[in-house]
Amino acid sequence: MLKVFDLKKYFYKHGALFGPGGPVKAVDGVSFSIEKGKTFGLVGESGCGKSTIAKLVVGILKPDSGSVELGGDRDIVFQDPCSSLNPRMSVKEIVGESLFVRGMKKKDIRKTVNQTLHLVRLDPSASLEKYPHQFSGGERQRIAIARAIVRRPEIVVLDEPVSSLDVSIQASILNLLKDIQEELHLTYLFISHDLRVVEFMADTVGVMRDGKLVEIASREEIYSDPKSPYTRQLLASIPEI
Amino acid sequence: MAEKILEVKNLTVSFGEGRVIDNVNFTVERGEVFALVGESGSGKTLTALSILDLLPPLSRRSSGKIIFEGKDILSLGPLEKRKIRGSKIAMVFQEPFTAFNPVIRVGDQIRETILAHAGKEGMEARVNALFDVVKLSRDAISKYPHELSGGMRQRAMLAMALSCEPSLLILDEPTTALDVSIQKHILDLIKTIQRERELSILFITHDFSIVNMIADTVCVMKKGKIVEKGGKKKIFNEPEHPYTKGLIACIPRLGDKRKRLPMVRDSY
Repeated sequence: MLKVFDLKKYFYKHGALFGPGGPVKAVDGVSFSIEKGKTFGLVGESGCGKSTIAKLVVGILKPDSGSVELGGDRDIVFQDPCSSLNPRMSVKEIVGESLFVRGMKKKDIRKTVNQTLHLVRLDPSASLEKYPHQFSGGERQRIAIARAIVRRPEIVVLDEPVSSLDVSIQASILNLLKDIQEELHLTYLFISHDLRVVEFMADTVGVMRDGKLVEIASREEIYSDPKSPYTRQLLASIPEI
Repeated sequence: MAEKILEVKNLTVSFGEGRVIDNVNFTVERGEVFALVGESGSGKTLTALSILDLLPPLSRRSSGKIIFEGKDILSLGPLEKRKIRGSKIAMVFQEPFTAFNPVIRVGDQIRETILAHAGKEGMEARVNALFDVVKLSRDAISKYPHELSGGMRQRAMLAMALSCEPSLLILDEPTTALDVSIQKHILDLIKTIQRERELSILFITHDFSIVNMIADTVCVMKKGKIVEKGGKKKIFNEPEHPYTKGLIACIPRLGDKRKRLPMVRDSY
């Protein structure tokens, strides 16, 4: 469903091609693929390039070299439910916007938005006319998810979708994401710095560091038999209960 | 019997008709790490702000005593309170970016704190020593907040909080905005500093896995009330209240075979 091949994205400082120290190699030759209906977990610390990968896959950024091949439509859910929702748009407008832009009729938009809100377990009658600030963090993230799936894309990129939520709310959003994936046969690119969350969600895991993938393995292998010392270091820093 | 450094007695705070802190009582002993745990909206940050008497304008404290080192600090005059706030009781806030002034270098902000509470004698040596303690390189002293990474900013906030040698340190979700791996370093640092200085710490968090790493005593808050309190081992091994059990159970863990995470139900 998604194939990323030797993706490269460099950022240049001071507008020059090679500033002092050269370009920032945010993504430096990354390749992976995701089968339909599966979840690929991309894990790494801040600054490793995982969010840049998200933007490249979704098309917000263009790669400098390499390719992104898609088997279907894509959409994205961002980390921060506060800044990713336009505070001056109602939920109805936020979720319906991409349908409206594609010329869907008002009646159909209304129906699809209602169905989608039900899918994310929000009550349309209690939500449609409200604005983001009237909702909690977890509810706002549900709205963001609704917006991402309203056109029923095949692929959804989730960039740290639960990182800014309390652990208890995190649990309900992760469960929701799993449920929706099953109901809509979605393929997920799930990005996080938290290995525990990635283990819960992913089928295959890729560990990123400084723009490169240092290890790719199935979920079982990464956790029971990590090959890269960096992976082992990340695993060791997880707090235990 | 260990010495009590902080006693919160019958604290109740309201916004209009609604109680956001509802008859809260707890005690922190000298040298103890006391974790105040709860979800967003449980009242834990407001409890910390009540201790420092920094409640937001529209709130009303209808009852309560805060006894710090034997004195009822809420009944003190504003000048006396200022002497305690920032020096004897220091707080590290949740978002290190918003707690620092973005247009003033980090070192200067710390110097400002020291100047306000302790005076300028031995200033440079103190600042240098503080940065060493929080394991920041000395060239971070002259940087602006945005030039530091999240973890480094949090260390700088710790340095600022420690600058006047407080006896009580309040940490409000100090690792929430950080990666899990950086989180571990910051928590280890806090533990080391706490041991070396025999600091008393009031640690606020929503995450029980962090509580496990750092706390001696745990106090669980929900909707402004305390639902359970006890030593860490007891709370983890034999939690009594269903809400506590829920908060512990909903955390994903490595090697977890569960297909769904248990959720904390609101009916408790």
